[in-house]
Amino acid sequence: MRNDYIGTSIDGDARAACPCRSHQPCNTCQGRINANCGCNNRPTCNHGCGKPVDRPCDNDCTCQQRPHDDCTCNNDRPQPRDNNYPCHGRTPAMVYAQHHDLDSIYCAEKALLRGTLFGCLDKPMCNERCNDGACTSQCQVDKFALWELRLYLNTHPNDQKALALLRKLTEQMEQDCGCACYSDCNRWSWPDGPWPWEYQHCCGKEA
Amino acid sequence: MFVYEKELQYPVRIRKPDQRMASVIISQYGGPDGELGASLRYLSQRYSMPCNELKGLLTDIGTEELGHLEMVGSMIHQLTRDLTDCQIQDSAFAPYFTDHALGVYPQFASGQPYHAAAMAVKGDPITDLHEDLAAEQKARTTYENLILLADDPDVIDVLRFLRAREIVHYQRFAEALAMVQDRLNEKNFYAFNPMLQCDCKNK
Repeated sequence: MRNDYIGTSIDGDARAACPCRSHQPCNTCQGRINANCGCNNRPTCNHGCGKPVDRPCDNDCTCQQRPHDDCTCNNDRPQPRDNNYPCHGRTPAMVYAQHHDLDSIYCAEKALLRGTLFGCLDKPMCNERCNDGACTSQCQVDKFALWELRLYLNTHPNDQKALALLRKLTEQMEQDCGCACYSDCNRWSWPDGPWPWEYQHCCGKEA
Repeated sequence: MFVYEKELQYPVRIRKPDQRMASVIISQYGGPDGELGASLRYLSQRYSMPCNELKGLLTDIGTEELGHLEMVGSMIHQLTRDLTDCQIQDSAFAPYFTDHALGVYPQFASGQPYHAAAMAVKGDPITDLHEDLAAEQKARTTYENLILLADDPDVIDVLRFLRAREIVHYQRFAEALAMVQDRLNEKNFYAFNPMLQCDCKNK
């Protein structure tokens, strides 16, 4: 794998306008300087080397006056400057992932109604009406809880508590769902209705 | 391979036909941020993922989205199957009826057919995971828009469930992205495509 840095950095800390409004030497202004600075003086490194700074340094150098690359001041810099990694030390933007565990899980029935096993991920809309509870079978309830746990385990493969719950839910599901058999009565019955989009009224009554 | 289970993940029981809602809910069937696009996106991205956990996650979520596609298709079917002639002539639904009658056709709410330009597969895990995060948020927002448009509790109940699933998927993709980022060399934080990196200097 290559180690060359070939990307771009995300630097939200763009150069600010130089806050000094007078023709003072730029080495007294605290902000970063840019070409639009009204000072006519060229900034100098004030750590004693006195060398002029030709252009603003745009790296996080700890030398207060942000010396140019060839500034010969010998101040110790905690972070060695490395021109191969110009963004060394900077934090790029990142997506934040709130990590969670199994501490606030719902029972399987509530999980199916709410759409998640995890209380911390249950984020209803404002003014969401409480649903009365769709009519669901125990098999459907078990399968959903198992599925939701499976997604969690894909990103938390070593969570022992989750693995134990998986074993328990699997047993439960095998009991409640049984085994689908489509060849009773000497006839292949898989295509028989109702199909999932042809609902029946709650609790098995005909639509 | 794919195996079909003859049961919806969450029941769809809509008692009252509503062609207005059908005309907009179709967007979650074949629209830019709908379930067809979501499942195709995730099932296509998994081939170029570097870690097994990502292949597993994308396969599972892609499969679940196919199940959601079925739920949305069921909603359209139930919203349109008992329409009266007057309801069919309703201006929002008549064009759809002309071309598709009571069939379920994957299209945007505007009538454009589904097209794969609505999704991206860049072959870079960081890029693809960001695409997936955005896709889940877009789907969540679309479900919220539909919930605001709906007034039938049977319809809202299903939309609410589907919206909740999008939030969970977003969380899983964020965790997957964190997993990828943890495994990168810190100097290559943003940049490289692990599927294409090779030692080119020796060539």
